[in-house]
Amino acid sequence: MIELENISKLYRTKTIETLALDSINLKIQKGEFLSVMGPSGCGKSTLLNVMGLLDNPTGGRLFLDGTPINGKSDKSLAMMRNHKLGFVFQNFHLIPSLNVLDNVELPLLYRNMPAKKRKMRAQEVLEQVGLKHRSGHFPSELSGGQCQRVAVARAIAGKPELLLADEPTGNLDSKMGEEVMLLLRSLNSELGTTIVMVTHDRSLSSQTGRIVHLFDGRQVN
Amino acid sequence: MKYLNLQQFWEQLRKNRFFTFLSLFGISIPVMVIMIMVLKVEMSIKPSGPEKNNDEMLFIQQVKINGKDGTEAWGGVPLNIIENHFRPLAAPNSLAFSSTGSATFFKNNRARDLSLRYTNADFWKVFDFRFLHGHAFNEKDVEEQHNVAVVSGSLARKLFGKKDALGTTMDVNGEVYRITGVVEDVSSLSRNTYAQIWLPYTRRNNSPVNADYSHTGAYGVTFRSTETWTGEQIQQQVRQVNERLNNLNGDQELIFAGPAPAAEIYFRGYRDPEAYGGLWMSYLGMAGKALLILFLPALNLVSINMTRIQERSQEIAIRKAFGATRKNLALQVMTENILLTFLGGVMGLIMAYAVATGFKEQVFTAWFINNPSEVSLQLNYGVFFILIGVSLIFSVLSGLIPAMRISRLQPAYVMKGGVL
Repeated sequence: MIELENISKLYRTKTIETLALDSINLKIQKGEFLSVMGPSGCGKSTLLNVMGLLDNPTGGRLFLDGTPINGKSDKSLAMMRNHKLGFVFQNFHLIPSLNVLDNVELPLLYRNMPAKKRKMRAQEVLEQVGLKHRSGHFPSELSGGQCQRVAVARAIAGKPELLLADEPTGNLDSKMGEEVMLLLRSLNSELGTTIVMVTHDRSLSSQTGRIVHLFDGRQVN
Repeated sequence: MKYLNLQQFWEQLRKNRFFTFLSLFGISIPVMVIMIMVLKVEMSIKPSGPEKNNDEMLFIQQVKINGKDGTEAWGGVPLNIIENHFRPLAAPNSLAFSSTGSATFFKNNRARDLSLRYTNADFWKVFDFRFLHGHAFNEKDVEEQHNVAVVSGSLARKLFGKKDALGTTMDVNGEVYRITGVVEDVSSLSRNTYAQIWLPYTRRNNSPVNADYSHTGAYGVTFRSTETWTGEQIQQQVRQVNERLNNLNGDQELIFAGPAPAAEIYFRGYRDPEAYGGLWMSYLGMAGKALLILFLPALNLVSINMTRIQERSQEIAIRKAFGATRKNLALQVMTENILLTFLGGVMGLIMAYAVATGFKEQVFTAWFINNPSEVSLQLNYGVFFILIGVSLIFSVLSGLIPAMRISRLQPAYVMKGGVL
């Protein structure tokens, strides 16, 4: 599904250079549920951003479904993000001025899909996460757990093959966190969605098929 | 359009009321200024009132005389050219000429300035005045220098109230005139016909018609084309007259500013006729002025837009994460900006109309227009098209930089808390 070959990421400022990722080699198979663990600042989110084509690595090569990503145009990267990838963020990152339905519809907006079909698909995934009745509400009117379920709905609306979740339960209490985790597990087991999840929580990582540990930007296992 | 979510657009406007106010205010004021300019030009050249058939007319308002010694003079058309050269070639009822003046009128111990126009008899046939009462003065009145006058409806009401003005007399510059007709008011922007009192041109102190052709005069000339006397024929014949006069004048060169359509005459104004660069140059000049008026407010809107967009950095990053291309995002920002500027534009148009009708005196006095209260303004499709054009230019000027900035956004950087 996705392969990282000697991936590194160096942040440069005028005074300092920070190596956020150092020669990461990772191969993730289709249908895997993998968690990335490590202390704060070890490069977990950077790794996820690189895998999600949201950030360019400064070294190494990245393959998505066997296709090399390096040097691709903005348009092809956008198309890959839109068709193959889905994101769930710790802070939900819902658009506050859009209602739940419009938020969920977002990935479909950038496809050549008629408005009616988009709405239907958005309603369908909202039903899947149990929030169909909230489709007209704004994010500010929802609880944290509900927001994250909307974020999951948005991430899967476009039926992505790879779901990248950055501490998806980090801002939720344990009960709500468990609900979201259940949702992710069922996506993986029932729909075969490949999931890469960044987490601090051992109890959550233990529910995934494989754990990758990072320390100071390096893979340690 | 699918990238524009109207509900979101409205929410953004509502949420940031201060920015919304600043943006709309910043757009509507320059648009208002431009729309007043446009309305003024529009009302000055469009066929309306007595000049409703001005598309059949050609005008000469000025002549220029270049002396051998390098002297230059320009002014109105002299009467001897009209009488000796234009009158013989004109088709019947197709040549009008008039000269403006002013009169002081006293009523209730208060002096009032009135606009006068001295005309020939065919003036009333060439232009389409609407007579409320009575009739125009005729050829005989003009030839025999009768003291007759036509007055505007509003002047008749001011002078005589509800009494019938016909046959009554009034004092104009120390002479007593009998009123033969009352016409519907003419907008003071109708520069070829506007007056409050019209008198026979023979009542004016004219230079002799047998004088030479080395001086400018005081008249504006209008030729109205007919089926048998077309605009092209008029222009050709006037050119021949011009050549003939130059032959007669010897060392001096005489140049007619026309015969030209109403729009050209408007843009020529009273400047040196030889300095006129053509209608397209005039329109370009107007567009240049408009751009200049729009430029600074557009810069201001750029900075407001940048601030608004910085507030929306997260949203833009999210959109990018879910598949928006640079083009999608730039289009979204541009579409929102077009809608915003169009809203501001409509506000500007309403304000322009309100200001130009409510503060006519102040606005039009600043442009040296006689009797601003008698300016009439009407909205039409042309004005709306210009409004759309102006709003589009404004939105492109003010939206392009933010749109380009957005398209270069790095989602990962913004999601970590960075801003554009």
